Amino acid sequence: MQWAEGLTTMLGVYGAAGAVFAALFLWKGVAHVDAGARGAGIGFRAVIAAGCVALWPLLAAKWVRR
Amino acid sequence: MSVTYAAVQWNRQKKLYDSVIAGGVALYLGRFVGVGAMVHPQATAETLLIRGLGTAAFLLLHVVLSIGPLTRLDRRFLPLLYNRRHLGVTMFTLALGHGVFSLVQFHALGDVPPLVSLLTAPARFEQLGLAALTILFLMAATSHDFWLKLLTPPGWKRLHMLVYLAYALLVAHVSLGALQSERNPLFVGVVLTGACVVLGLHVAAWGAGRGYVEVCEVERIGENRAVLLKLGDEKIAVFRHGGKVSAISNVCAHQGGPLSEGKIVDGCVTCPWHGYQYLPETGASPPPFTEKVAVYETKVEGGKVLVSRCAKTSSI
Amino acid sequence: MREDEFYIGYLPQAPAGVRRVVRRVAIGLLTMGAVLSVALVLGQMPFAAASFEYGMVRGFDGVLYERPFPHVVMEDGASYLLAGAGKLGTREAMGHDGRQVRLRGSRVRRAGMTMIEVETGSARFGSGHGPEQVTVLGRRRLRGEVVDGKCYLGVMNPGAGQVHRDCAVRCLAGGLPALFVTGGEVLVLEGFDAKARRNEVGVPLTLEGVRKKVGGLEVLELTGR
Repeated sequence: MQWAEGLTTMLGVYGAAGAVFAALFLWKGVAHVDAGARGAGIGFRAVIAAGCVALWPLLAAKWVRR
Repeated sequence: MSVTYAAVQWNRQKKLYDSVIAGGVALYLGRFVGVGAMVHPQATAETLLIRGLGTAAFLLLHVVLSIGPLTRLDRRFLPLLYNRRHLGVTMFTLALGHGVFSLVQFHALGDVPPLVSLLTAPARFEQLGLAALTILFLMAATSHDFWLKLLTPPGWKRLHMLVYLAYALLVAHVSLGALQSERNPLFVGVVLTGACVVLGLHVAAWGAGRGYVEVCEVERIGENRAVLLKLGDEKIAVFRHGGKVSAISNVCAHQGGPLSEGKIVDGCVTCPWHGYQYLPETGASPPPFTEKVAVYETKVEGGKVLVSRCAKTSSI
Repeated sequence: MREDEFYIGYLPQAPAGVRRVVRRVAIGLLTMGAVLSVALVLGQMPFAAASFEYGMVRGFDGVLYERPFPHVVMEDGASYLLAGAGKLGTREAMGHDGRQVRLRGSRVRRAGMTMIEVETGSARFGSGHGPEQVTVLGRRRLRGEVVDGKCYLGVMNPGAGQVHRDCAVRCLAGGLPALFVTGGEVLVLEGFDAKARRNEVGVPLTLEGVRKKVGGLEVLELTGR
């Protein structure tokens, strides 16, 4: 039971961090990482948002490297 | 083929495709819940929805998995592939609905948080469903071209090949869950038929891919000379010698010289660059040399040379 | 399909041959969906005649007993099991064993058994009453399935079997009364340790214990494994 509580807490923290990151990334970062996102609309951002929350460490690494 | 991303690059074909998906799913769910409420008045709406969403997602996954091999068997099925990602996202949405309703129904309002209850539950089939749903989520979340570019096409492909793992997990989820409670052989029949269709189409497409490809008329190849055949990324040298036809990899094992520009000398394919030699039937250098290049099956039918798509023996 | 037909998705119209094939596939799949949706819904196991009067709150008068499981003996002699909200047992009975009670709640009913989902804070207690009548019927060894009383009696349908198993485990861990569904009758379990024996819930099982009648309830008291 304890491992499950630990895992869900970790998932919650990861997801919350991802949500904060995704908001920042979709606002500023996405155009740095991919030129195709420059001038892209809110619809595009909405479609990739879930992925940004889930895969935020990968995007963060790409953003930092640019 | 656009400079700036959009949520969806809408066009008439996609709209048509999506209307059929939306209509089909709405009809399926409407009938399942509607007929269910009529013939099973004791069943609750939640139960019918959980079952309707689950069966719809599982059936739709079979369609998603069948499209790939179908298009390889007959290119008239290509329009089904064109917008397959929308079909996949629809399937995920149905599966998510099934998962969320089940989580609330079976695990919420208890003495521990719902997800903790699910992770520690003893019946096990629900964790298999959760694992599959996680894969389907990652696939749906990365279905936009932005992710294809970010993850690179091979990386994206690897992630999306996990759909086969998700399918295996879901067959186990259904077999260890619903099939244990539902005694009607119809349910086992549907699961087995679905698995046979998916597996059968993949085997058939794999078999078709292994077939022969037509090269040219025999006379087009000069005696002891070759023509070059390109098969995707592979380059194959097809030689004619003493009434026989042989096909070996075009790439010399020495420094990658173009064997198709070489000649058969003393019964051996001889590389134009440094004279490295290979027996046309086996692709092996004559003893004591140990080099070897890949060999392909060949046959002549109606005066035409045919070469197999897959190598008979590989290079060493 | 003519050999030179070539499909391009972003053009408004697919070639005629391609269109014909895709239309046939779409009609085929929609037909299959129509047949399967009806076949699967009709092929399900029958649903039990059980009911939960969700949102319908009534008043109940009787004598409340906390042990061996919370229940109320009504004035007509019928015994109703008690449950709390969600997957939790009721705490209304704590410390009020054997007292007159007036409470509010919703009925859950199946095959002559009734449970009340008690509205939290609705119980009003009166004077004390004598102990409940218990009749011992002897030792029994029975085969059946352990389920939670609330789902089985009608909050969920089906409230037993493999698909419901994890829910039953949660409900019993939350303190809801355990039932033992045997081929012949449904017994209330006394002394079933839901947390220690969670793997034995929702699967075929043999239990041994003392068969009793506690008020109007048929009971199996577990006395050893």
